[in-house]
Amino acid sequence: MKKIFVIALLSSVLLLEAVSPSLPESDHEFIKQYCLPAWKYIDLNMELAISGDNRKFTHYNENEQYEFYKINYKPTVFFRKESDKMMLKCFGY
Amino acid sequence: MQEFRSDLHNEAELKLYNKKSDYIVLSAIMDYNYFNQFYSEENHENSTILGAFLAGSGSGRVREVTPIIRALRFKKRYNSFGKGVLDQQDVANLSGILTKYSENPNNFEYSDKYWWNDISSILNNKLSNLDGYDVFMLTDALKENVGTRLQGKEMNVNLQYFWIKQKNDYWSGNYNLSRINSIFSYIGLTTSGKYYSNLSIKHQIGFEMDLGLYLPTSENTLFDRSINLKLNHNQLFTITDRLIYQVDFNIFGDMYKKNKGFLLEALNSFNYYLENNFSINLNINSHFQKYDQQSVFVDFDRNGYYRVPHFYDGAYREFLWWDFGVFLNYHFGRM
Repeated sequence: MKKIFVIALLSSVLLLEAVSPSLPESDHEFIKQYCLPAWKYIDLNMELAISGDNRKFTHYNENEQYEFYKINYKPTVFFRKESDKMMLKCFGY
Repeated sequence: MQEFRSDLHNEAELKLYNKKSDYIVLSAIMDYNYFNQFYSEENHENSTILGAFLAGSGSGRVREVTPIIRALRFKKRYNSFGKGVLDQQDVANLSGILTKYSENPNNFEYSDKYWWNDISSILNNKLSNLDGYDVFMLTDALKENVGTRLQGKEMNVNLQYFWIKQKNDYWSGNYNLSRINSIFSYIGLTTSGKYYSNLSIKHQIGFEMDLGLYLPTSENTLFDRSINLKLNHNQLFTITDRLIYQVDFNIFGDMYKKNKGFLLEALNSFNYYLENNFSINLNINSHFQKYDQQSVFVDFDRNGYYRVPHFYDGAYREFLWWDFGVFLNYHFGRM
């Protein structure tokens, strides 16, 4: 199982790298070098979710299987401020 | 079994830099978690209050460059018209003003008028060459979804303190079977590093690492000493203007006394924007975990935020699970 997981992980990364076009060198350098002097933003986010979880346990050669379903309601606030001298981020839900 | 769970979570992180990108970091987390698990004849009620404080210092800087990526997309679109060329200085000016794009409607009536006036003046009237159809296409570039884009590298060493107060009640109907109150506290020496790079306007890669040694400072304790390691590799793709795909590969390892455990995760997230502020998100994740008898994880979520340390009592040694989620998100304002 572990081997399958590692192989899947590595092959996914290689595949993603292969299909991704590269940025022109000048733009890539620009992103690395240019920094905004100061800026901030607030993201208010409301999330409604339905999710599920299927777990198969192996315990002393006995197998057990569980399924969980949940409904989630999550309002969040995200604040970020950057300047040359500081970075502040706050997060709450 | 049915469960009702409620969580109130707040955290703040402040980094103060000197000119060489060396910094000190301070962070605080407050968390209140309540759950009530209903079984056929009993229920288990738990409330946990957690406070965590971190102080450290480091070198390097990971900046959020979302406005710069958006400005580069704007430049690419503008240059494709063949009616002029935006240079790097134009992109620099534009990315500064793009940070105000989501705020303008809150501040002005007919905000687009002010917005395009601002853009026109910082681009030295280069918009005047364009006709109406071109401007419609440029407007699209402002609404495209580029995700949260980061760039740079940093490394830091921290001292961290956790304080956790727990109350557990076991009920059979209205009869209280038992009540257990506990207070735990831990101190941790941690080091963490991040590296993010945008290989293209549509593609970002990132690596994160956290390593920590945690020791108890209270009489009650879930563990005597624990060493935790987390490695993360993530990739973000903007597949179309409205579809973002993010994949995370996580490896968690921990060592508690002579017991070792690990957790491998592959997390896939597809985020489709139905309109500019409203998105539907599909997550498909797989996890594989194995450990010896007892194990402690100091957990992180995908944004790198610390969560409550989890203790697994060793009832199971190995398990594999899948989970999925459909999320509807409304963003009141976003970059």
